[in-house]
Amino acid sequence: MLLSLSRTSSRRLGDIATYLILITAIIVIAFPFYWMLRSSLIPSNRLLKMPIEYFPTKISVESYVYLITRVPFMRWFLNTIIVAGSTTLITVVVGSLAGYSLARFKFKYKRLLLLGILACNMMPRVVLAIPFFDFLNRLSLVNTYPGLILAYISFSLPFCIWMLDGYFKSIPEDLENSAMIDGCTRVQALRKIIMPLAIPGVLATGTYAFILSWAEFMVAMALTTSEEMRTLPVGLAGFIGQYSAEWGLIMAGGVLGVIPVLIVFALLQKYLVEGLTKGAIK
Amino acid sequence: MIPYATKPESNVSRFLHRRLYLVLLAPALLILGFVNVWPIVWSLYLSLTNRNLLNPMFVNFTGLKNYFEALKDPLFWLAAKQSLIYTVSVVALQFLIGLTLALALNRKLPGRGAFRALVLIPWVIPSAIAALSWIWMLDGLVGVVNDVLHKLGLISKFIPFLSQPHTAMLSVILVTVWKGFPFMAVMLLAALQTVSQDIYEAAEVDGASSIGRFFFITLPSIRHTVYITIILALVWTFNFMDAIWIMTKGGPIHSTEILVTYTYKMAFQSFEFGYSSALSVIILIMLAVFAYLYLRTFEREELE
Repeated sequence: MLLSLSRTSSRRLGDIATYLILITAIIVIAFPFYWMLRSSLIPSNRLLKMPIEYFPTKISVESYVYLITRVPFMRWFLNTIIVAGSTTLITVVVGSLAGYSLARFKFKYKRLLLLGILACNMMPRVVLAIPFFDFLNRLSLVNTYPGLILAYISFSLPFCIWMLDGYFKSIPEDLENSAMIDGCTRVQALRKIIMPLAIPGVLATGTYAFILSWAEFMVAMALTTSEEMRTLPVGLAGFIGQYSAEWGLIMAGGVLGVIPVLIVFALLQKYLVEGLTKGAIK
Repeated sequence: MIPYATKPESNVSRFLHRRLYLVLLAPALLILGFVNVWPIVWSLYLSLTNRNLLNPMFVNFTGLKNYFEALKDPLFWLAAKQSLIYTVSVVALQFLIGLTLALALNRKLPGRGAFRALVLIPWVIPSAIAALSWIWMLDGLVGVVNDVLHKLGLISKFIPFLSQPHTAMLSVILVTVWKGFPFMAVMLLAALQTVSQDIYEAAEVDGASSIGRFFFITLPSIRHTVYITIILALVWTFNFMDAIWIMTKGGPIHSTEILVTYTYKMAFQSFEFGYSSALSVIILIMLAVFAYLYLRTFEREELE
């Protein structure tokens, strides 16, 4: 016997299912963050005791205080800002120029170049980290800002070029062409017309490039040898020792390490989603 | 050539304008050459030597010896097999969950915009921080996952997820899926939103069931995006080392060892730069196959 539902009741069933799915998704997504926050605010001697306190009864900021004062956390934070910031700046500027060129011009070997950039995008970090370590070592650039930034550029630049190429392609060529017919050189058309229009795409790319660099772990771990030069992810991961882990510290560090990214994301997420989907959907 | 009014320009200026595409590309090409191409070439060279950083002076050219060693190395094959299992499981789950979420978000319900923004959050979180958070949640003694499962009556004893071979692999798969499914969901949602409603309505009029509509209209309409997103996810997951390294370092007893973690260990724990470079080259060859498939799609779509 087939249960035939009317259109409205089958739609309502669909709506309920949809809300269930969305609520489950939000719980699954948000819970780890809540847990991180809660674990960072529980006094450390209570943290490892059963039964588990789902809502902290006593709040203590001792983990944060310890983190900021007794551990090079702020230095790690600074390192990450410097490296991620510099990398993003360089790769977005260079990537915009290259992306525009790839989007607008036809030239010999262009397909080969696009293939090459795609290949760079698919490179595993470890494959680049090994030779990088070798020659940075010879130049005594291991464990330095320039060394790290160079290594970060190796994965950030191909990505930026790829995204910006896609973005510039979505801006109709007629705009520049009509400007040029009216007497501008291409460079002027670029400056006056394209640049304002490109801002959302550039912001999206810059946002993701920054997030990518901020989160980078393996390359940073391979290319830093002293505690002070570590980036935030590497420093935090180092709290897990062979036998024990300072969970209060780790969670506090996690909360602080996530805040900049969340802020950047909150401000620019509109552009990020737009840029992402434009690149892939065409 | 677009005719435009010429202004008096110097020869240099005209030269640059004629080659504008090159001028714009030059910085990128120079940098990429230095930070991407050169390291690969260097890696190729290293793979043909027995360079070990502990004995940097005694470097010999050994030809293809490293490659033969790799093919005889049981850990290499184990890592390759587990790379496959890890990558395929993660992407399959990310796709299924992402698609479900995308279909849900595609319905016009209030609050949809907020959901869409929130959903991306795991994707933008530093993977190291996500991994650390999950280690804590999966803890075998005081972890909240164990507590919840126990309270729900699903387990009788706490499980040390990361210390047992099978549960370790499941755990790293779980965390990687958690991190990556939002990307899938957002991509698929964008694709779903380009499908016009008319086709659905016509099909409904013709008597198609909702399941039929899904398989014969929805899926085929978004297949281009599905193909691209899956290939991207496969490559990304194959290369993704952070979760496994932080959570298990490839253990316990190599049960979560994948190719990239094994290569990393060879380079930065054993300091075998020659051997690990050979492993890198092998990984690159595997990825080249993926890249070939990727481009084939674009070509096919362009022709249609």
